[in-house]
Amino acid sequence: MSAGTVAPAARADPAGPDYFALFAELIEDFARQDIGVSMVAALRKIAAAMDAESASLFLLEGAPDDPQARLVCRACVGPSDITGAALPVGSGIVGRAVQTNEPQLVADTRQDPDFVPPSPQMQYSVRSILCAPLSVRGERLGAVEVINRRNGEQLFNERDCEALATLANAAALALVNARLTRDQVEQARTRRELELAASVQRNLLPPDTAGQDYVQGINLPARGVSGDFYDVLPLPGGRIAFALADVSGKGMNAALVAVKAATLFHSYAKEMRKPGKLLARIGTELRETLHRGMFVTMVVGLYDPRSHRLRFSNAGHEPPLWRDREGRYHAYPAQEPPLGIVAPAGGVYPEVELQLDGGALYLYSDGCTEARDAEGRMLGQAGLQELIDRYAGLDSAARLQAVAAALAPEGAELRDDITLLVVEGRRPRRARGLLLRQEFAADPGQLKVIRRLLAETAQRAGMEAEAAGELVLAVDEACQNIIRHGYHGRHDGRIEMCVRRDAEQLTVELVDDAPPVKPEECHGRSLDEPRPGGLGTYFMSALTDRVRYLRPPPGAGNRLALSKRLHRRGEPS
Amino acid sequence: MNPGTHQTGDGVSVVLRGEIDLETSPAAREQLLAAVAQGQAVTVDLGEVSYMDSSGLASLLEAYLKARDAGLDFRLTRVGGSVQKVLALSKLDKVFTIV
Repeated sequence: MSAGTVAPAARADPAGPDYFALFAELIEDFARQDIGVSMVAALRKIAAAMDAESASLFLLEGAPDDPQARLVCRACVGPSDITGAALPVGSGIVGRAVQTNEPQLVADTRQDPDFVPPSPQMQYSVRSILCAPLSVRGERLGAVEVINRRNGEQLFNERDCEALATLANAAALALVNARLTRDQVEQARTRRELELAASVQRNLLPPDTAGQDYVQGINLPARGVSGDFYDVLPLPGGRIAFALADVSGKGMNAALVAVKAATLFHSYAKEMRKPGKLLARIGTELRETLHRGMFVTMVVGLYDPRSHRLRFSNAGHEPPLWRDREGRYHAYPAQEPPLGIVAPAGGVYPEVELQLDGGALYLYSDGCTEARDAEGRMLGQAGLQELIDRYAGLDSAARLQAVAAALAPEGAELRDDITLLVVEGRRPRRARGLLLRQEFAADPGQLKVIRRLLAETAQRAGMEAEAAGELVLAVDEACQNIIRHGYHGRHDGRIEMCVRRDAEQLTVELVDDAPPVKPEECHGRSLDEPRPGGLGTYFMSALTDRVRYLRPPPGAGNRLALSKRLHRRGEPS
Repeated sequence: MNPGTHQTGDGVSVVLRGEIDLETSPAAREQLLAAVAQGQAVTVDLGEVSYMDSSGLASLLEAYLKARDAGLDFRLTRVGGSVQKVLALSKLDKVFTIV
């Protein structure tokens, strides 16, 4: 409602005050000011509108059934300031209003047995009282009381009673809002606790599965602790069990359930060879842990690399996607609801069996398909498939890194956890020495994807973390130069990055289609005078062992090669 | 003021977060210049910055020079790991006041 809203004609009563407009005004006041200030101002306006001598706000402090609970006056206008006065909950007209949750109209206090006479020090005699309870969705907050009517009759009427009840609602909403804000401040404090729990949880995730040749996973929690998890468990005999799950809700509760589900999977997968039964067993045990309304969507599966046979079961989770060797997608929507709701028909979950045979199976959480692009459009299954296609040339670990990085919005927090898992039917082929070849749009937003991919590739090649960081920075600077100076800020160019390992060094080659650079223009500047600009080229040479401009492939613009040793000289490889 | 900038008893404090690269440094630059425009001492908190490249440094440097020309104090604080490295590499750790 905005100031100046006109009350509908039906409610306008020429004989009485316009309570509807006052209600609108109070809502506005509460929205704009600090609650303490606006509450006193509101009482003043209410007292004026009702022609009352005084008005006061009582707040319930303590739970309603707590014998120690009190109704305490927290704001007051009128000849006597009773701010701070406390009444036991059942007591007085105010107590009656709160207990019954009904407005109270007391025309003549001498006739009402509940009336508590004021102390002799009070300046005026209380003749009539109107009291409306404050409550929101059943939660009792307190009451607003107005006393003595100033005009000749000195009595309140039914209409005043209804009006006060309505005005009290405005105050109640404002109080609830104020409390929600206070809760948010407390949430910031618990966030620190969540971060601690997150680091514990990270240790429970399977160790970097880069060593696993067939199943890779990645988990990016949105807010410290994750309600998603994935697990990969090699079994004796060469088969591999895997799982991916999403617990409803966020925060600590969800994270704890995720840990429990992961533990259950880990224990039972060793003994149970049928995914449908395994899922049912996990579901039965989880039902005891889950609070009312919580549920877990989950896929478990078993892969045999020798026969390429894969079996999986799905309880209410996003459809696993099989990308066959021709690049076509097949989706397998769940037939049964999530764990924690009802047991599946027949006590086991249905299984899907397929031959991976050169293709790959993708499991993912809804944080992936519900991620939004810059225009706010949801990615959806189709969008996820496009991303997978874009990075199909990479090996599975690198591909997941690239897809996850592409899903994380620019500079903002994730809305939901991102979890991905891929079962690949064949070992990745490695061209001799070539570790990575990937094309990128020459766009500033792609730099973070380039950085993540390169960091992962360098570390898997055995480069130590600090050196990998230096190489990543140098390549980042080189790409910036290509974007800014080569393509002059146009975003429709491309950069192709190849990473090769020869002997004890890594070489990153960047190929672009920009106008050829003259090597003489590429020297870094001296650092004597601090100036913004020109640092990039200096970094490139300072952070690597060699920077060369090579003959570009036919038709292309430039080929820049940056080389860096895997280890510092003198250290064992 | 935008969310990462707030008033302290000591002037204006700017908190930068995450990765400051070619994509995100324009926003950081605006935040820093706006803080300098307040006309008070500026402290830049880099404790939550996980990555900074030359474009990020350029933004810091530009703001620093503006502050210097206006006679205002400009300080960096909570300079860790990777940020410390790029400052040292560019020799800007001798130029900035780091507290």
